Amino acid sequence: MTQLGSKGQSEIVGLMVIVVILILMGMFYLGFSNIADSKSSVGERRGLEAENALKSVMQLDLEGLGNIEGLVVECGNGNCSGLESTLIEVYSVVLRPGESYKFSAYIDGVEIYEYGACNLGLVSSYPFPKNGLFYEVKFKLCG
Amino acid sequence: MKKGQVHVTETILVVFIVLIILIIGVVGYYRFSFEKNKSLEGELSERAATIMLAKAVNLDELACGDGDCVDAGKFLPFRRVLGEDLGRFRSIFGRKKIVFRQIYPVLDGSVLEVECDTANYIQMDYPNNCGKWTVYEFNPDNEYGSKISTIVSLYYPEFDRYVVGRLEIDHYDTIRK
Repeated sequence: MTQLGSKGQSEIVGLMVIVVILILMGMFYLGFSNIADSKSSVGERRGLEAENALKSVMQLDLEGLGNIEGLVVECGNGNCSGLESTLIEVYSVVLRPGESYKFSAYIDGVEIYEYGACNLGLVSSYPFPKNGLFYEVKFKLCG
Repeated sequence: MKKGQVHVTETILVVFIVLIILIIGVVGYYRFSFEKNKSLEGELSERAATIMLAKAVNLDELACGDGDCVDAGKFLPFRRVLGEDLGRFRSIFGRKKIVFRQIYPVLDGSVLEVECDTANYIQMDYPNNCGKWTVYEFNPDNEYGSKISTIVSLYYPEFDRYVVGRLEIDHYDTIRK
């Protein structure tokens, strides 16, 4: 009787172990399949945001200052103060809180100006010819 | 207790536990599938809204001639066309609300939520007398929506002037907390 009782008890313990293992396996399966399927279009929107943040600001009409293209050309001639103050003013309004950026300008591939701090982010580019030179502005959006 | 009785008790216990596991499994899987479908519905709605975010700027009805900006002068005519052919635009946009706002130069705080309409348009201080254009809205069940947005270049043809705006899309297919 005692032998039968202890045998039954050990079988129940074994059964419980199997049950626990099955439940854990089920939970792992559900958890992992949920993670694997979790997709988002945030990355696509970030790319769009980076591209539009540059394009729209480059087209922007600045009262009494022309536009950013003109300020980049002026920066190429050695005066970058107008460009920098405009970038600070515009992007502080246009970008969302917590977003950072890096704005850099090139003439024929040589960097003439860089502003902002941003390491990992999406880069957009805006090339334009002016006075026989090839200008390019790059904008990196982080955060 | 006899050996046979112990075996019968064990068998009943095993069958009972297996049944409990099966029931828990089926209920759990059903609930999980339901939640997953809801989440998938939300993702698809968000994806559709993201595509719309990129597409709306290039719609002939709204875009500038060169396609690199949104023509603010087309908003009011677009709303009129929308009213005449709502069925067509519902099939294109679905359950959404599409709003354009001017964000730079910064407008006076009192006009940020003022809808731009014909009455504002004919005023001398236009476009500084209103802050947003709701170009499309279809939300028959009055649901709460999720908002996504992107920066756009807004062009005022009346003044030949470019400003920075934001395109906001509220999508209502799924309520996301």
